Amino acid sequence: MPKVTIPVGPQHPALKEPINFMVSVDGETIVDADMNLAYSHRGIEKLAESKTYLQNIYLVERICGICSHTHTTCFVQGVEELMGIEVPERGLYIRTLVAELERIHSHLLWTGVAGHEIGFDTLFMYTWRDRELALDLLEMITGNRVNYGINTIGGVRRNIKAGMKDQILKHIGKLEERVQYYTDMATTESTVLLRAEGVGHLPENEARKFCAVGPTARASNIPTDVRKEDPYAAYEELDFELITSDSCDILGRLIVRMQEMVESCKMARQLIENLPSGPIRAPMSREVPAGEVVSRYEAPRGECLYYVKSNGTFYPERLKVRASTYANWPAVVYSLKGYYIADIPLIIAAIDPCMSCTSRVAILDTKDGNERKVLDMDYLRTYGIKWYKEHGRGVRRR
Amino acid sequence: MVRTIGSMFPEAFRHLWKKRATVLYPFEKLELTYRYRGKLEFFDERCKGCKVCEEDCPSFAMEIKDEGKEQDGKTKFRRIYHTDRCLFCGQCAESCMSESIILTKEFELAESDKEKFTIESTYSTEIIAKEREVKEDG
Amino acid sequence: MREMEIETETGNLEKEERIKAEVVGKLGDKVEKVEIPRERRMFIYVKRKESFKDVVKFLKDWLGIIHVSAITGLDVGDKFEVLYHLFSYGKEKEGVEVTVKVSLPKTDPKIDSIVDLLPGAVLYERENHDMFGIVPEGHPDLRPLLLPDDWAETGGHPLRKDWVEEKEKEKEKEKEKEGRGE
Repeated sequence: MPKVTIPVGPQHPALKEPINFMVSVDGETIVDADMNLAYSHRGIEKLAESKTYLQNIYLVERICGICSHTHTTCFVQGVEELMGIEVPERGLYIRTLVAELERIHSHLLWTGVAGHEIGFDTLFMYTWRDRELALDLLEMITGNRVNYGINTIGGVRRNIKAGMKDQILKHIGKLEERVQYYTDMATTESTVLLRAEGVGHLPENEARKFCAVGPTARASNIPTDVRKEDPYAAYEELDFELITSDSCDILGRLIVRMQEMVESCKMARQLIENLPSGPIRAPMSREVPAGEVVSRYEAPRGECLYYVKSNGTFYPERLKVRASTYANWPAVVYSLKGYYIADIPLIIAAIDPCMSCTSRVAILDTKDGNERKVLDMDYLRTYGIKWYKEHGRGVRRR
Repeated sequence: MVRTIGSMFPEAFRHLWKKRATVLYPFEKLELTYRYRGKLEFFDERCKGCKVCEEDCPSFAMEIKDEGKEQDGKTKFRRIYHTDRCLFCGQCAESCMSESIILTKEFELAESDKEKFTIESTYSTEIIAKEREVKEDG
Repeated sequence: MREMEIETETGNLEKEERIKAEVVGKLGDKVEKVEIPRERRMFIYVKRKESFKDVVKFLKDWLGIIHVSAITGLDVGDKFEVLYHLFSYGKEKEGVEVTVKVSLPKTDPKIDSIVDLLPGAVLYERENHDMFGIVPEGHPDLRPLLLPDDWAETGGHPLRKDWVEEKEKEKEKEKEKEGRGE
């Protein structure tokens, strides 16, 4: 039988983000998959070399909208280590609190998307409504719903005021209740079980082989979590459990994320109740001594790694970002094999993919006749203006 | 494991009598927190002309231009603020040592005219060197 | 509490020292030096790029370090450096991030691929091939990953320090074209 190859994407294979899978099928069954992820490449690593450390905080924050706190914390941690700054404990606690709230909102978002992919839009609507609780808290603490801008070199920028504690505890109580409800519901509801159970199987040895990270790895029974293995911020002082599942399928990933949210609520409560007093940030200088550092962070999607090399000036010599989704792609390609075409969106969505995390580094390119062109913003702008001058009226008239 | 179907029915049913969770945006508006970072507002009379805001801005939204000395010894400055480039991170307000920048709650900044994105002002001030201090909380 | 932590940080380097002793003892002349900047972080400098794969193989077989976190390319003037961020799974607070550092001459930026040892490195090696032109020899698939498919022939490698954006050139070309059109 001839091999049939179907392109899935770049428009919306699972989430509204560009990635392309070339899926070879035998009838309905996937036999092979190949991917192309160079659609949202932005050249951030190159750009970071021309910005100061302070400016880079806001640059890396915009690598990803959902896990923006991940990137800033990971970067800032590295720079603090280079500078030898000891962050005040209150600063670390606030940083950790924001991180855990971010994890809750990211996981709830994922649950909603997964619900949408399996055709269970009721779940999607309710989880996204409850996600607002976490977002409200984040807005109250940091000022923004996403791109919080709370981290700075040496600590955090915003304090938690006395009156906020009650509000935070109240919302966390509500969230805990809701998360528990979704956990019970998702593990008994047939709609979820029929689509998720036994689909996207990723055995433990394969997950290790492909270096899967985060909930994807934990659902394949690998007890890996940077918060435990390599504690940063205030995680050393917190009491929480590392959640794993041995079912190795999408249901496992769902359960791991659900229970992680319960743990996150627990952690947020601990953080608020034991919030130490004192300053929230240490004074910093703008110059970073020469050196290199590897910083790791457990993002909602898994391990995030930053490598910062400084040369003693205001600008970093090299900033390497390895976001968590990128590490999970080989595992996705593996777990697609042997399943139906209809399962593709769900299997892809199961790692909580984020394309902007995946490809961060360069330039848009197109074919214009035979000539290859690098299109920059200015060019695109002039091109756009020109095009509308020539075609604009015609388009409108039609 | 007990398998059920439609376990979210009661939940959905209960919400029939509840208030809706969204707001009808242009007519109703949610209240923003006081920490919201919106459009910048400037107090030119406080500015000391240190240009830290320009230096720290990650998106080149701020330009402070030296326009030479005036007769009374003050220096004339021209400030250009590009709202279209601004990220609203608030780093300029934080870095500013004379507290001449504050963040307002204004967020509806869409314009059809491109020139409106550039806000210019000229002012003259005495340059006073002052140590940078770490500020807390906005 | 902070003070206590600092004490443990400087005092408790057992695991790192053990790995260091193993690496230095078993590999000897292949390794230039081993640095331990802090708890749970290690830098292993490999002397020659030919013996680099043996180091990774040793780490994998003897110490069970099988997780590739990332591979960083680095342009340091006259040569490239490739950093393999490997990670050993461990119990609580036991994981060690081991960075293996290799230098490559710019004239011949080739290095043995480690995909056959650690399949998780497949994307990272392709990325470095795109961004720096570092060729992992023995890699099964070296199509451009993050750069467009037709990039490599003309575009160069964007993360090299000597790479300049074609923005200026394009702008000039555009101006010329517009000038001619009018």
